[in-house]
Amino acid sequence: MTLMISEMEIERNQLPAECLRLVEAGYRLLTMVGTDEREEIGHYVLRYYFANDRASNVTLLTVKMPANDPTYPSVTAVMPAADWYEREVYDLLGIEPLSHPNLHPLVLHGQRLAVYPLRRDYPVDQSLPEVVREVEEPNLADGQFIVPVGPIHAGIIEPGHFRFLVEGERIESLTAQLFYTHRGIEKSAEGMQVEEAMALVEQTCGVCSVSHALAYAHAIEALANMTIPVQAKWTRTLLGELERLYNHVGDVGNLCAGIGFSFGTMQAGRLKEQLQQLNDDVTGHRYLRGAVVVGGVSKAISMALLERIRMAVSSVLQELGEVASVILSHEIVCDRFASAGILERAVVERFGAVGPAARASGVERDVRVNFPYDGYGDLEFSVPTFQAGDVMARLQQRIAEVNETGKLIETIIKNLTVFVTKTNQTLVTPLRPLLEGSYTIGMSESARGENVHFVMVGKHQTIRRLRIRSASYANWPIVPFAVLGNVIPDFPLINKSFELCYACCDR
Amino acid sequence: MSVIQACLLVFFAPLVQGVIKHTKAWMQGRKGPSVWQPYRELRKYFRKGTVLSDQSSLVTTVVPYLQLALVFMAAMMLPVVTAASHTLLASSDIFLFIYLLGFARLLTAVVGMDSGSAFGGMGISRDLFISLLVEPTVFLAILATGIAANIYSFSGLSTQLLSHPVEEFTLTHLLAAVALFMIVMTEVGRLPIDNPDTHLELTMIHEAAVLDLSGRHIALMSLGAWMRQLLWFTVFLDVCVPAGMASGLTVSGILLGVVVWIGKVFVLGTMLAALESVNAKMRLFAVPRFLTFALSIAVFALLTNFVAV
Repeated sequence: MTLMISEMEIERNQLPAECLRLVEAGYRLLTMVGTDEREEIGHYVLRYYFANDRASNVTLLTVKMPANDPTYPSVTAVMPAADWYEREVYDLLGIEPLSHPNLHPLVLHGQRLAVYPLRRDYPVDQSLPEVVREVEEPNLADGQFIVPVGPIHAGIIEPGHFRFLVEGERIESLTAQLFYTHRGIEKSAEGMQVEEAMALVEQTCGVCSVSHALAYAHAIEALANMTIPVQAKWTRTLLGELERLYNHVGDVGNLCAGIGFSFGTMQAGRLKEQLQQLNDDVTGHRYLRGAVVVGGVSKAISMALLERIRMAVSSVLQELGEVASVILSHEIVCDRFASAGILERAVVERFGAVGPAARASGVERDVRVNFPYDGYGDLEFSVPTFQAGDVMARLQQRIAEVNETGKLIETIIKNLTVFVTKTNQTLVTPLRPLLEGSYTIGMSESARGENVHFVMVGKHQTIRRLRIRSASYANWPIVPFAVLGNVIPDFPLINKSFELCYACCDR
Repeated sequence: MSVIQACLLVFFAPLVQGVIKHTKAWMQGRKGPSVWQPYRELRKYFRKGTVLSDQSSLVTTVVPYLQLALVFMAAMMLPVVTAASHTLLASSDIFLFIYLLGFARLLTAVVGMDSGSAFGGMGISRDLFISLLVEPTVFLAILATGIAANIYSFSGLSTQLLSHPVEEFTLTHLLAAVALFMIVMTEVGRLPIDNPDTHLELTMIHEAAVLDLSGRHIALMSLGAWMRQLLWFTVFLDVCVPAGMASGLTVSGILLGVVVWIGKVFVLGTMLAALESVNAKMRLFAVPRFLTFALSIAVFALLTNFVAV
C-alpha cells in the first residue's frame, strides 16, 4: 500500500504560518529532513513531513535555502515537536533555525566549531575535531541540587547523560544528553547500493531490526513502484509481530527489574529467551536480522516452523498471562507502578509521541492501523489503548498488545500455510530501476512505535540521503515531562516504562 | 575468648552472604553463584589497586579501616555461642553495642560525602533518614524484653530466656521479636527497603554511599557490611531465640552452641532470601510507614510490661 503524499513547496518565511495551519488542521510532524543539494540545484533543502492519522494522508512541505544563506525561521515555538530535528539539522548540516528558543547542540556535544559532517563535501572517513565540553554554572534556588548521572552507569546499559534538578528527592527538571552512540549511519549509507544498505539499516538498532528493515524496504519499494510477492508480504507481517512479541515480553521483565521484583524479572526473562530461541530457529538470528530484503524476504518459513511458532507463541502467551496476574496482584508492585511517571495526553499531542507510550496515554496512534503496510490492510485487529498514562498503564498496554499480537500471529500463520505447499515459491520481486533524485518516506510500527525512513536516491541505484527517524527519537523529548514531580528513585522505573533505545535514537 | 569470637564472625560473615545469595538465586529458578563467591570477591578487591577521586581527603583512606574496627569491637561484645558475660567485652552492654554500630554508620556516611559526588550524598541522606527511624525501635524492642528484670545486656537477656525458656517467653518477647525482625530487614539493606543487587544507582540506599570506593577500601566496607548483617542476625537470635546457646564455658556446651548458632543463622538467612524473592522494593517514602509500624509494635511490647496480662 503506497502512501499518498501531497507535496507543497513554500518560501522559507511562510514556514511557521504553514506549520501552524497544518497543526491546527490535525496534522503532526512525522519527520523533518535536511539535505545538501548544492551540487544538483545549488540549494539546501528542508522537508517537513506531516501526517494526519485519521485521514491517513501525509503532507510534505519543502523549503529551499540558497547555499550562501542557509537560514530559515524556526518553527519550534509554534510546533515543539520540531525542536530536535531543527537542532540536529543545524549540528550536522549547518542549516540554522533563526530564533530557535533553545539552540544547544544536540548530536555533536560541546562548543560549535562550524564543522558539518553531513554536508556532501565532508569526507566520510574524516574524524571530527576535539571539542571542549563546557559545563554551565547552574542557576540554583535555595535547597536545589543538581544530580548528574551517566553517561557511564553502574549497570551494563546504553550511555546517556542525565542532569536532574532536585529539591530533596523530588525532580524539578531533567535534561538528557544523548547521542553518545552516534555512529554516522546515515553518512556511511550515502553512496551505498540501495540493496546493500539493508544490512546497515538493520543495525540501526539491536532490538528493532525487522521494523527498521521494513520501513526502509517500504521506502525503496514505493520509489520503484513495485509490489512484493504475497507470501513475502505475510512473512514480513509475521516477522514484525514476532519482533513486537519478544520486545514486549522482555519489557515486562525490565519493568519488574526497575523495582527489584525478581519473580517478574526472571520469569519474563525466561519467556523472552524462549521467544529469541524461536527467532533463531525461524530466521537463523536471535534478533531476526537478515530476513527482510528489498523486494521481499530472504527465506520462506516451512510448515514445520510455522507449527513451531504457533505452539511456542501460544505457550508463552499462556505463561505470560499467569506471570502478569501475579505481577498485577502484588501490593508493592501496584503501589510503585500506579500514578508514577504520568504522561499527559496533551504532551503526547504536542510532541507527536508514538507507540505504546502514546497509546497508554489515550492517543490511538499506530502505523499498522493508520497507514497499513504489508499484510495489515487485510487483517482484522484492534489496537488497545489505556487512559491513565502512568507506568501501570504502559505495562498494561504492553500486556494487552502481546495478547493482540498472539491473535494476529495465529491468523497470519493460517494465511501463510496456503503457500508453503507450493513448490515454486517467489519470495523476492527484482528491484526496478530507480529514478535519480527521487525520494519518499517509508513507515513501520516497531515495538516502541513508529519508524520513519526517508530515502533519496542518487546515481546508479545508490543512496543519496537516508534519514532514519526511530520511535525512540520521537519519544525521548517527552520523557522529561513524565518524570516531573516524581522522586529520583522512581526515575529508572519511569525510564524503563518507555523502554527507549539510545542506539536507534543516536544512529 | 571475645577476640576469637570476633575473628570467627569475620570469617563466617561472607559465607552467610553467599548462602543468602545462593538461596535467592535458587528460589528465582537460577543456578546462582557458589556460596564461596563473597570470599572470592574479597580476594579480588584486596588484589586490585585503589582509585581515589582527586576530590577525596584523608577520610576516604582512613574510614574503611576504622569502620571495620568498630564493627569488630561490636562483634566482641555480642553473646554468640555462650551467654557467659564475663568473656565478652564490656559485659555485652546494649547501649555500647548499638552506638558502636551507629558510629560505624556515621563514618560510612562521612565517606559517602567525602568525594563530593552526587550519589554519595543522595545515598547517605536516605540511609540516615532511615536510621533515624530505626534507632528508637531497636531500643524499645530490646529494652522491653529486659526492663522488668532490669537487664541491660545481651547476655543477661539470653540467660533469662535460657534459664526459663517457657515462663519468660511472654507476649512482650513475641511483639519485640516482630519489631526486631522488621528492623533486621531494614538494617541489612534487604527488600522491600533496599535492593542489594540493583545496578540502578539512582535507587540505591546503602550501596550509593560506597559507590566511589574501590580496591582495598571497598573490600573493607563490604566485609563490614556483611559483618553487620551477621551481627544483626545474632542480636535477633540472642534476644528472641537463644535456645541451644551455652550458658557456661564447658567445651561441649560451646561446641553445641556453635553448631546451633550456625544453623539458626542459616535459617534466618533463608527466611530473608525467601522474603526477598517474593517482594519488590517499596516506594522510598513508604519506608517510614513500614518503620513506624515496627515502632508501634515495639511500644506495645514495652507496654505489656506494665499491664497485667
